[in-house]
Amino acid sequence: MSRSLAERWYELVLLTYPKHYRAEYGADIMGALMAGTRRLPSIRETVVLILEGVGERARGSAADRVPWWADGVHLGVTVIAVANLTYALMDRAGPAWIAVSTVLMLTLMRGWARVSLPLAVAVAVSTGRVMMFGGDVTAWGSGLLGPSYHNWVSLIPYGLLAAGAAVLAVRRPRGLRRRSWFWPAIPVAAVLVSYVLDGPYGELWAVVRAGLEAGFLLVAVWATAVARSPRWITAAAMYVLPIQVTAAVYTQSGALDRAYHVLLAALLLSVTAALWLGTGGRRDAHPPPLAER
Amino acid sequence: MIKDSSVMSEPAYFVLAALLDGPLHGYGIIKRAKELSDGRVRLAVGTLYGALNRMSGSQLVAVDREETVQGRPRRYYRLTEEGHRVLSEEAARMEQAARVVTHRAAPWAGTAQA
Repeated sequence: MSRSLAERWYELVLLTYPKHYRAEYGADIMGALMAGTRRLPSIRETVVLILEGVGERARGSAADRVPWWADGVHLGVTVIAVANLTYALMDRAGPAWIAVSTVLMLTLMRGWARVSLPLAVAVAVSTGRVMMFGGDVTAWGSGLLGPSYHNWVSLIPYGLLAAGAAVLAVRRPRGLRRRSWFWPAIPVAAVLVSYVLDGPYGELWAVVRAGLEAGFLLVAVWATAVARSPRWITAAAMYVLPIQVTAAVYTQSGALDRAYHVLLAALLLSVTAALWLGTGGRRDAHPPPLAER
Repeated sequence: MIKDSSVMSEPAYFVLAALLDGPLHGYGIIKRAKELSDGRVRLAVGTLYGALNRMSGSQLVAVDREETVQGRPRRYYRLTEEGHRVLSEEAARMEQAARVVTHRAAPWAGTAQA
């Protein structure tokens, strides 16, 4: 018998749960979902499954042996490395730069701090070469070395990347979590949007980028509220604050630009507020108010 | 809003109460909780299993047995002794809390009728 649309959909949604949780409860959850089901999936069940799945992952992260600050810095530098590769692909940078950016992202995803450190430093030094060593941007061969920025503000993310990688490489005990293979989907999606559906840095990309950022920050709000851990605040701040500093230094002219920066600031504040307003401190015997969902 | 982390939520209470008459599987708990609460508590499946996971961790419920129905595994959950104790304490707490109001509400209702 072929599986129904609802069954396929719920199986997809269950991927939001950690693997061990799916192994323990996945089949049982599917049984309960399909016992009372109709042909089409329920929006309410879908939303609750996603919230519970993300919450379960968040609680698992908070209970991990890696301290919150190291995990937060690790997530922050991983996000910056993903953004760096995304822009390298969108700018059609040279193959050497794309290769270094890709390997940097992959080593950070795998939690190989000592391997990623020289790559992160190379990326930071390369992007800041004109500011550090002077000379003309064009004289440095951007095909090999990637983009070069001629102001310190634009270099803040790369400084954070190198500093974060250094902190992770020297900390004891070593050991970081492995990140999801979902992250490489972002640069791939950016290429798809930029070169298949729209032009580079077109309106569609602006919407997709803002949507992704807002989506990730909302997940961070929920994760912080559920697990009561500051790790997501650290990562969110590492990504959002440089954007906000840039906006403050180079005043945005358009209303949409201003709205975008206000939205990011509001979401970063929400992630921070969630640490104090969340529900994670409640006893296990007393789950959050279920009927309100 | 006053938050009291020592108070069990109503849905959690009805999940435990649903298991008083014997082991039930997930969908059975959802139906029973709805019946017992006169339709107020409509548990989403994800919520129920999140609660069951936490309650298993706190040893309030345990897996009783597993069956296969139409090719799907179906797990039955039962209340543990600790679950009975916590549920009884919560029922007693709510009864005491209700008495605070009902003892005063009775004469007030009489006056209103007069």
